[in-house]
Amino acid sequence: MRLLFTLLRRNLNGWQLMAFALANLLGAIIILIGLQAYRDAQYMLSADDSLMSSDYVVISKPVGLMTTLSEIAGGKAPGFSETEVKELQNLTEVDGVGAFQSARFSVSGQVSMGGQSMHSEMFLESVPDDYLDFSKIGTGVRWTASITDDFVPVIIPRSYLDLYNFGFASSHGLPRLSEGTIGRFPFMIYMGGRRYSARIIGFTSRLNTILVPHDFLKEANRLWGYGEEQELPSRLIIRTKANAHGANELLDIVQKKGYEVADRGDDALRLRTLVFGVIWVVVGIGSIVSLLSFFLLLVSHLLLIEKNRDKLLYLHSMGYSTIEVAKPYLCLSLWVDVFVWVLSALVSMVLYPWLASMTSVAMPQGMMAGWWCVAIAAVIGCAASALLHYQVICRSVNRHLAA
Amino acid sequence: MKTLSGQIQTIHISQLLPEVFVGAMPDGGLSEVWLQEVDFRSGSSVLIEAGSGRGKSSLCAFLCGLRHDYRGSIRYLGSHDTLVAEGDATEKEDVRRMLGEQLRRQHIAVLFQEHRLFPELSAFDNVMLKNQLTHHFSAGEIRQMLARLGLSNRIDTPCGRLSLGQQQRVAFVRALCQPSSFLLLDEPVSHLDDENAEVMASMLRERQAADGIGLIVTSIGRRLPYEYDSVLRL
Repeated sequence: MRLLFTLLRRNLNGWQLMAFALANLLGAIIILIGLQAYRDAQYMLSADDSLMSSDYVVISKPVGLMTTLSEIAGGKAPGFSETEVKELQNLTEVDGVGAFQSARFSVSGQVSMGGQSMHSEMFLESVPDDYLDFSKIGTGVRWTASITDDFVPVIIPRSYLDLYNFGFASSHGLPRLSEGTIGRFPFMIYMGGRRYSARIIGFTSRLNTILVPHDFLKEANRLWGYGEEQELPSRLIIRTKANAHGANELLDIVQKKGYEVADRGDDALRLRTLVFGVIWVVVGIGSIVSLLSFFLLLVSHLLLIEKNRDKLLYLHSMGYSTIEVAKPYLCLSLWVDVFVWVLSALVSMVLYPWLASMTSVAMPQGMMAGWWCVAIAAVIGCAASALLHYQVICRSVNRHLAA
Repeated sequence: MKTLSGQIQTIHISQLLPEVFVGAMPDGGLSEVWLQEVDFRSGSSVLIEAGSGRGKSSLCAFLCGLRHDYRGSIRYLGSHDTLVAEGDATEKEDVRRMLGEQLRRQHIAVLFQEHRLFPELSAFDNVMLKNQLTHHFSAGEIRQMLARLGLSNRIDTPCGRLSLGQQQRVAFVRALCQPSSFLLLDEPVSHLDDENAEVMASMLRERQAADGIGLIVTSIGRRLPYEYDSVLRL
């Protein structure tokens, strides 16, 4: 084998080979960094409390002057019909649609704190449990209730706590409360002529309303609610599919129908699409660089085979088989492939965290555990590259021996 | 693809004719090989004589499976099996190539007229390149054979710097590295003096006596001094 290598490497241009390998390395590094960014972006954007956790969008019908006048005159509040809900459910970007349910009865609450007592009219809503997100306070919390019990768990938006701490508490000389302590304060809810002991068991960033368990509110509406039992839902919560690429399309459809997107969910969705778009552009550029350098490397191998055509024929006439003749080129390309992908995996593993820290991107805990993804991608890249090299080189050697 | 176990006993050619000679046989078609039925037997030695352009090198290339541009057929008869190479293009190219590889690797050794040496490799490395396929000789034995042919001081010289006669001797030693049933020598002494031709002949006698190989030697006029069983006019 040594002699064969000595013989067939005569026309090999080391600098040229190194240049192609380095270009290939650059492309592979970009691809692997892009993949890490993609994986981490998915991790960050799918976190429940993330700024862009907009797998969920809350929509409603616009409230205008005519709506107000119509309701004053005793008309129905505008809601989503069954057909409209089904239409949304059938969209390819939509994974599920949940309807908000409002309390159709009078609700009031009372809080006693520091010798002061506050009493207020309030409202309650619920969504199916599948669409609910909240950070729990403490352990052993149950998210179920029945109207025959005398306890109701409640979830409030995180922004309400900020309103209390930075608005109400300051002006009334009351102490500010943390998320942990607020759950310890019981308060009373009056509804349907009954008094319920209530406790805030969690905070939500997704839904801007006061929530109680869905089954509880359904039962309460049935017993104490005024108006029609099957009132149309005024707000819907839409869960989009895991990939965010169709988000823009979904928003376009929603806007065309004249629905309103709550809580700037549309901006978050578009930002999410933009982030993934940028990542895919980076991966695309890396792929183009990598593919171009790969083909240049391949062409240099083919030119080398072309230059050594007579030697290949002589070796073949001596009894060397096609695969034996091709072996030096196959070994060379395999070494380059292994060098490129192993080095690119190592470099991207070091470079990516550094780049992320430079750009001040907050990294979620445990994100570095994604290195195995890089390793798998590098192995796949190396195997695909080596396989393609093998096919093309063997075919080229065969063609020259047949000529 | 079918393989031939053991040694080739006979190479039988039937109605063989290079494509280029179809309808245009030189000298009006008077040949004892082309378009004839001829047997080459192991243990025997045959001299094929012809002038320039009569197809000596083509015959060697056909017999060792390197080329297939001919009409007729070649049968390689072993003690149990027979391999057949047909001139018409019924077989696939890769099957033919594998047949050729098998013949040149196991059954037929060839000394090409144009030597087919690698000028950048030394005389020794050129021979070793073949011997590392067959492992027929040790490095010491190869050095001894090269020395016997007067190349002891040229063993490590690149072949590109050797004379044609020296190259012919290197190519001869390389051909001997192939354990085979037949040895094809295409104009083996065209560049040799009488003394070296005699050394080559004596090495061939020893090989034939030891292995019982068949010799097929071509000549354009200058003969390898050997005891031929038959002489055929091509």
